[in-house]
Amino acid sequence: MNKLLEKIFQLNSLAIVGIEKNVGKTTTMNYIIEKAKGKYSLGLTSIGIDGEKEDQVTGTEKPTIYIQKGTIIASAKKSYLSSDITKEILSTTGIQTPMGEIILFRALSDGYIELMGPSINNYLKTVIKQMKALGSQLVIVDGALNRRTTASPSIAEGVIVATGATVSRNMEEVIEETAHKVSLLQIELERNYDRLKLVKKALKQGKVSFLYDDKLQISQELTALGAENTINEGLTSGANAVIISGVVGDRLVENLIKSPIDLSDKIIYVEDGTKLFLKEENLRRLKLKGLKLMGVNEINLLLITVNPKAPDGYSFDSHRFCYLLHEKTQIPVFDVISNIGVGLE
Amino acid sequence: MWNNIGLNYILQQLKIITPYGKEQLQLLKPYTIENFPILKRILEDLDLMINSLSLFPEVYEKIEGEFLRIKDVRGSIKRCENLQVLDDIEFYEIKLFAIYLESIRYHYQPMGLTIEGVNFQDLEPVIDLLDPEKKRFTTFSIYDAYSEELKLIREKKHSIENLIYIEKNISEMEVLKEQRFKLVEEEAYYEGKIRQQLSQQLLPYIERIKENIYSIGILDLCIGKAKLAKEKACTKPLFGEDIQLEIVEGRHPYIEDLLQQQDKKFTSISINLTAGSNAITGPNMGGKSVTIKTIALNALLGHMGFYVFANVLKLSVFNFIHLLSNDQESIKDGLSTFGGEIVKFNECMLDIKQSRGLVLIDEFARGTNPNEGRLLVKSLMEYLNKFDSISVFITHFDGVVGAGINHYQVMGLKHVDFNELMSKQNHYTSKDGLEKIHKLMDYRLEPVKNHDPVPKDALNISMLLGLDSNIIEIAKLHYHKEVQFYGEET
Repeated sequence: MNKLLEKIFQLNSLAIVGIEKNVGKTTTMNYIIEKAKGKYSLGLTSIGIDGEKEDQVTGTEKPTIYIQKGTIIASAKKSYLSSDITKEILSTTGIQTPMGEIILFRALSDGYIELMGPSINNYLKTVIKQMKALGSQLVIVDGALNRRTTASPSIAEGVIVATGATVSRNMEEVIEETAHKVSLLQIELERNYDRLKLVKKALKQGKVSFLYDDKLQISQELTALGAENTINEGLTSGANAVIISGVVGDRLVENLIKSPIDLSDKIIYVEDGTKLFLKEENLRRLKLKGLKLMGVNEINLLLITVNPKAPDGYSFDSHRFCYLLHEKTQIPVFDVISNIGVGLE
Repeated sequence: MWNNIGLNYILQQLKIITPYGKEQLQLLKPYTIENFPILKRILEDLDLMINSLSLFPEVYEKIEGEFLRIKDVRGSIKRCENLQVLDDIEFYEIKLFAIYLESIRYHYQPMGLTIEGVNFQDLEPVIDLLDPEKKRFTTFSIYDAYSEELKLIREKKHSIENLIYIEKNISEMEVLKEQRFKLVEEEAYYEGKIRQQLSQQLLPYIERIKENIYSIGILDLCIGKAKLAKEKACTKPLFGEDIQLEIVEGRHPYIEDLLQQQDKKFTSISINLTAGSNAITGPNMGGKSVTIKTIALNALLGHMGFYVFANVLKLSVFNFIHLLSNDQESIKDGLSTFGGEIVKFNECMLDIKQSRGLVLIDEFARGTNPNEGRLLVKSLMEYLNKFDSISVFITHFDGVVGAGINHYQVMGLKHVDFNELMSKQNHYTSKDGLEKIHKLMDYRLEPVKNHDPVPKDALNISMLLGLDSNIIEIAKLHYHKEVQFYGEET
């Protein structure tokens, strides 16, 4: 694990995402923070949630973590005021969120803090840059695989995925589910420079676009949800690829699978795998029909961390859990509680 | 009206940086006869600023750099005035405001400018208040230096946190965390007291801060106006006692820019207007509307304390500037175009009876029958000629300009040889025709000597724009008849 840790601490930024709520992401975060103490200065922020204040207040986990003195934090004013650390304001950002303006501050003592970061990619990038400029060696971004963010963990140089026994009582199911989500994160990237340029342009300018060989057509659709007809028409009329900015869910995909359209060699482009919310079955059926899912932003998945204990009380055999998960995904797996790792070299 | 004459275009070009400057921009209004001394001072200060900009460009670059960092602290200042306790972020922003202000003051004062309203006050004490360790960092914290008790609590808390860090036993750790939590509460208590104290200690400096906010606003606006004046080669408007408006090579910046985009040139206008009625006549498409907008805009800018877009603008102070044109929405109020004109004119008449101003009237009564229209315009001109206010009438009506009324006309197409022109090409498309007219049209104004016939260019313009030649032939016959009948100007 030490080698992998060294690699991690050489990065500029690291995103830690949980497969689902309450899976033990905070434990992973605390683990990394502990490993950094005395050696590396950290910056911390989180990917916020878009949308109304209520969503922000009720809808999601705002991680409360115990941080070390010297950490730099980028978080909303509300979280500044509610943290119990002794702190120093370094700068304000002008970035507004429902929880107040994002403030950059430094911890002058250890203590508890709730992270409430920006929800938009560009703001997230800005904030990471600013923390690096203020001296953070590694910026950790707390994220989630969640429909309600526009921002993506792909913004970080490396990504850790956290999973655990809370996903299901059945270990095989946890492994299936985790492996499935991991494979979504690892969809193929478009490497062709010209194509990539077109696709990126489309993602910026529209929600649903089409590629006819090298001609781009951007539709007027305001969201992919409900745009099934447009997508079907586009593909029927000869488009090689559909470019979707935002979430691609089961409904959209099932609609395609049910239709008589020939999907072989067609491509659906998304920003990255975090925008895919598909059942394993649908993923398989798409593959059978010959349709490829491709991404634009790389998700550099370095590690899967596991918490073999569930709050309900049951727990898995850590060795077996890690081994099987590694076998299925071929990604290094590490149990942060019992310090067991598989495939770490 | 002001948007109608293009004022917003100018205001948008001003580079105002700070929120305080933007507020001053919103508050801009034209000055009147009564407060002319203030306007005089503003124009003098603008003169000083234009000079200063040339002498010390590097200093202004530095000042502008600081301006870019200035944020709006008025909300926090108000809260402080209302005896509320400020939060850390507010202290941080006030501290930074004071630091940047001191930098601005440091750069500004050696230049020795005396601009009315710009009076920077020393904010070092405010910085000291929020920087007890005198480090002058652009950061803020409730520092240990504020209170011995706070310092001790924090030290105790720090020791517990160190113990927590090395503690492996969970129940021991819980005990330690409990202890820590008690200290957190004590720390919060003392921090709260310090915030209260600081908020009170800031009170005596609030007036100074407000003075500085005002000064930044005025300075920002003044620099913006000066830069615009330099960039666009504007000149100082010359206000005098005589009732007049003389403009030499006056320009309309918005229309000038539009024309430039089309590779065309704007013809600047020169005119000398006197008390009472003045008339501008001329052909259709002769640019008369642009002329009065140019006059109105520059007069207004002068009255608002700007330099103007002309080589010379000599004018008296006006208590009001009215532009009556048919761009207005009288239809909305259920009036016909003509009805709307009368209503608007009545409003102007009230002002004209009370004091001295500038009124520009574009094609009054154009929408009603020409016989009555002519008479009405003639009557208006005769009546308004008795007043001190300068009234400018644009009209295409024949024979309405009475004797003794200051009369200009657009030179127009009078020097064009239409026969030669028409023989060169059989017919023009409308588009070519428009281009041609614009090229041939001489937009300059010239004084009219009595009994000059009003040029009759409508027919020529119709020909150029390709009106059916049959109609032209019929019209020519009628023209000859009518000219014989009317003969001279009545």
